[in-house]
Amino acid sequence: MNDKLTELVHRAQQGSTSAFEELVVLYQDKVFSHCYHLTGNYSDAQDLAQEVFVRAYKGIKSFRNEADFGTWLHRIAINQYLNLRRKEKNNNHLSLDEPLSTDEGEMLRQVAASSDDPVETVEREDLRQLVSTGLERLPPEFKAVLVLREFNDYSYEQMADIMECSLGTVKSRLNRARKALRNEITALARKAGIDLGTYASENE
Amino acid sequence: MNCEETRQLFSPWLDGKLTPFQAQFFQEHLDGCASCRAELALWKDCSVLLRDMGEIIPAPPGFASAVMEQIRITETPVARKRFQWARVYWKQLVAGAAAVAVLALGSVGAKIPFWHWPVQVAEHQPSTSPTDTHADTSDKPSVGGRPSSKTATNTQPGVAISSAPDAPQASSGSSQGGGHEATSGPRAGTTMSTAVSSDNEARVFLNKERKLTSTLLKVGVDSLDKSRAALQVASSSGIPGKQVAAQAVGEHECVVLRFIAPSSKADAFVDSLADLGTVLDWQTETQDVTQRFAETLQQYQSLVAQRENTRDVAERQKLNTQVENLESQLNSWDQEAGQHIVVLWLEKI
Ligand SMILES: [Zn+2]
Repeated sequence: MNDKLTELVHRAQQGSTSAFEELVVLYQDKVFSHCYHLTGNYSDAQDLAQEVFVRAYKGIKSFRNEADFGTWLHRIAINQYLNLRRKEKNNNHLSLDEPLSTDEGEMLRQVAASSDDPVETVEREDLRQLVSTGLERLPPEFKAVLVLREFNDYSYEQMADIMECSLGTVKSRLNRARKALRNEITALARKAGIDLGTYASENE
Repeated sequence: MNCEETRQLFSPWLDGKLTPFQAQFFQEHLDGCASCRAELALWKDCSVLLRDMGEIIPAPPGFASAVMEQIRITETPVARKRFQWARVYWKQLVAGAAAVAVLALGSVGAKIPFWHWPVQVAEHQPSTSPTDTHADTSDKPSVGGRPSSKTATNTQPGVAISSAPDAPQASSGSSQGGGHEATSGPRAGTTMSTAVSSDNEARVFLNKERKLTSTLLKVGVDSLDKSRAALQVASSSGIPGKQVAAQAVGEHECVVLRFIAPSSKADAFVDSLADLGTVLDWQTETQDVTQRFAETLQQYQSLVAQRENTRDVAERQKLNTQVENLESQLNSWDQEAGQHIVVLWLEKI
């Protein structure tokens, strides 16, 4: 961390709310993006991002200075996101399914509209839609690792730090997550009448 | 290496994590297997697409202030249950469309407490109470800081240890009159409650009547420039305030301003704001939190005492955190004492 950052964190740890507010301003875009990537929508991202900073404020004294502040915030975001999703799963079965099926229906209509010609190969835009929808359908744990790795370009070591797990776990979870995404894409493509085989052979 | 073994390596390959040994066999299989090549191409494209989706999305305007507001609110125990509203309110302002619903509800007179968002603690000090003199001359530490004197160390750290955890909750009647002591025990006769931490960090809190007061004023104006007039009125009275939102809501444009007025000036100030245009809504709520303050204080003292007794490092750290949390809650009450929150909602009509 650079000197200014170290000083801000230090002052925030001493109880300075103005220093903390400066940290919020410095990191808000990074954290908000991260939350948006995790939740997949603007409104939930707002809630999550706010919650991340509130928790960061409360826990700032536990922050070690040798760590990266942004990474630390990402860890809070991941944990909080997973907690929320867990709660959702336990308490509200409907909310998990309803929005997803709506989004998916919308996506599938779009894909289907562009795939009228049965011999047409999978366009890049189609695949983007499949990936995006597939990602939303993944279990939160899988989504989290993909967001950390692909969206944020974190190394395995950084991911292990954020997820508080071993390198082996990072590696295997990423593998599982990518396979799960691949399976979702297959399932979604089938529903939309898209033949991924044609995509593949076009890339020969 | 067969197809299945090869595909197990797709993920680490994407991340450049194959050992030279693995990479060699991996490549050999791919060279001879069109199916795995095609599948890998798909994995690779998915990865590239994911990376494209990872763009930075800026936080919405006003995000940082909303965060700080929320931090302040959550630190105030009484405001916790209003917290949900706070979030909804802020989101609605940002989202725009949803705010129509709020305005509609407000205009038919539904008692939707959306204006509770910027809740603050105001303190009404009975000026005749001897407590106040005591309070003003006591050595109050700066907010969030540590006292420089030993004001509070007249209480021995050990005193509360045995009594506090078993002490009955302050009865509901004991603190209603204001200026009464909520904690019973060895220091009867003084209205000052103290706590001493292991590091000689003491924080003195006084039990006295405390009230939350906030006012929502919704005024219809011909031009939103009236917000400038409102800020001028405020600054001429020495009342800090700022615009917290500006939004086109349906066909109505509106601006929301928030002021923190000393209780003594609040009523006159709200009157002058009402003169800016046609008053559409005006709600004031006062809530007595004297009792909750007393309870929080007692909890705080009890935890401080427990901390004194604890030798276990982990347990001590946990207690420390709890003590700090409560202290900041109590601090923010003290800090915000005597204030009256005024939310001015200007709507162009
Ligand atoms: Zn193969």
